[in-house]
Amino acid sequence: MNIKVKTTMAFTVFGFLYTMVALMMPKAAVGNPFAPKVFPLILGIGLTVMGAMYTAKEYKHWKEEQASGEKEEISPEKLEIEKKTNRLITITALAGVVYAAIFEEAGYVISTSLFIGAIMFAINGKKKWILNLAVAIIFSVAVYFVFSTLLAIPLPKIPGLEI
Amino acid sequence: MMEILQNLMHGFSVAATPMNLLWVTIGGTLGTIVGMLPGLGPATGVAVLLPLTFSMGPTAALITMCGIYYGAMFGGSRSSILINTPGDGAALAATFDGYPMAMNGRAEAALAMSAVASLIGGLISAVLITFVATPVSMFALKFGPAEYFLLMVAALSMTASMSKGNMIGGFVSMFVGLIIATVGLDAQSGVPRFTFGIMELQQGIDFLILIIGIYALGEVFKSFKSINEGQKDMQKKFGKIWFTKEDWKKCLMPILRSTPLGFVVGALPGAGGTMASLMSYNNEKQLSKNPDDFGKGEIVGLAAPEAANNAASVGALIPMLTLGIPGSGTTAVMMGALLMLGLQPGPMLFVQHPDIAWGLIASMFIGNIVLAIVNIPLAGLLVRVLAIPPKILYPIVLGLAFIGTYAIGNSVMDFYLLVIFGVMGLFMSKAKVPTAPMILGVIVGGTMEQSFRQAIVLSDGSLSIFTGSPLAITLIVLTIGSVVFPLIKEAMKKKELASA
Repeated sequence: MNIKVKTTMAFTVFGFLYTMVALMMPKAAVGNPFAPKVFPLILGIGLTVMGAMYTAKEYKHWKEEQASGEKEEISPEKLEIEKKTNRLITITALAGVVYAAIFEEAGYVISTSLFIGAIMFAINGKKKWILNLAVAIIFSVAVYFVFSTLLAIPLPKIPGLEI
Repeated sequence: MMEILQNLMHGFSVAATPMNLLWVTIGGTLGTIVGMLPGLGPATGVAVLLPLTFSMGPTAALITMCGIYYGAMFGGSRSSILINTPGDGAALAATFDGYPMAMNGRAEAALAMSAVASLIGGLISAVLITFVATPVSMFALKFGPAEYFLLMVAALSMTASMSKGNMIGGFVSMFVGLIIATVGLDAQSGVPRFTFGIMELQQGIDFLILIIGIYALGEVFKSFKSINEGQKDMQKKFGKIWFTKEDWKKCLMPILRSTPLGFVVGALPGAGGTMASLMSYNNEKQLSKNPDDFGKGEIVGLAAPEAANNAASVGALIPMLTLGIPGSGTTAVMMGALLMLGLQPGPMLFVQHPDIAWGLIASMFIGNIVLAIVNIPLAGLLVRVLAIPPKILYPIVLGLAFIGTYAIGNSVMDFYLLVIFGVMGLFMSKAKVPTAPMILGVIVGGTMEQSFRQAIVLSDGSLSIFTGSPLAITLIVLTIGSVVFPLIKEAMKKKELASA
């Protein structure tokens, strides 16, 4: 199955699960006890039905493509770029999760330097380590200064330090 | 009439203080820079730069946001002209003749004409909005909850069905958006909905996080593909940035024709700048005596869509300001900015906060003039930002997206949501599911549900309230039409193809 069929299927399943959770939701203590459920149920059923129709459409399209033998030839270079891109996206998403986990404990400057640094290394490789580190550190310190000093938006500090 | 002019004058007195002029210039310059970066359009620009305004007063913040908004619109076409890569969809039409002009050694004329056409389009539209905003908001004050609900249904269905060739995808996207809006404590009963015991979710999901996730993260994820491609060659030295008298004579009428077109198209939900600029390009090509010159560096082919694009960006503010329903991703972010400042866009904005509403309209005039001043003489300098390699640029954009998210709610929980929405945006784009209906759904979802429930309570549980007034029936007809019309059009096209 291609990505279109998979994505549309995911939306359908999500719609179904959402409808189930909406059904199990507690009743309201004031007013109509079912009032908070009605709108979510309409939406959940709407998404499930639309998602199923969409999946059927994309599945049919995919089957037709398969039957006609129309398959896009993917060159090894393209495949390599695709692989590299997916790797980069995965690293960025994971780095984002780690960033969230350490943000408040490590402080803005350290956590952001690590986050930007991780992405810079993933993109540019180890050879350009000076550039990677420079961008990561300069960005973190500059943003910290702009936000906490100029914009008066407090950011988490490094434990024991005033930055 | 006199009252409108008086209000506008009051708006100018609010907006034109030296400090505000400075802010609009700073906002406009930053917006131009972000707007011209390929892949990062006005929506991303405004979303990423939003935190800059958090410590300002409401008027200054709004004026700065306006500067960023217009700046990003001006900037979008710089990269179209110079490197054939539009900053956003609306700047796509500027590549058709803008880039060939640059290739023919007329980059200076292209840059200047694009800025002047944008300026004229923006100014005329600002005049139009001045006179249209009050009647529309007065009319909207007559809406009851049922009509308001139906209005949102109509806006959503128009946005979903305008998703070219993928109406069903548009509706799926719309439902996902509305579903996201149901997360949090129910406003009427206090029942927690879809929070799964997570405290931070009780207040609901801020739609700005969705927007930053989809536009900033999603776009960077997509751009990773081209990160290893070499830099595109670009002209770095410029002569005097201006155009000839003949150019001006040729372009004036097309600019004046394209402006009202762009304004009207921009005001329609879901249509926006891309459609406006492409429509005006095609119009001018059809009207031209030499249509074959289009695509080869015809200056009219650059001026017309640029005027239409800027006019659309002003027109798009009408439904947002007067009805509280944004028609595009960018105006959605602008609405987010208003909500952050504790202002609810909609008909009451003009009644309760006339200084803000009129200050905003006045700042459209000021913003457009300042932007033209910044963009023409400084174009050569500003475009240097295009020389920043994506390998450095994208990590920085990611860093700004995260800090922007933190500044909205001071919660790291939002970081997880940001990553989820970024990945979701990537998959939606890969599967060609449009994202605009989802964003509109998240924004109007809460109000839509409340209007629906209020209407039901008012009518003692009867659904007849939704067909109880001529206005309600008109809105229902509009909704049905927005779905049926594209289907009929498609069926006719298929029939034509089959018979050919």
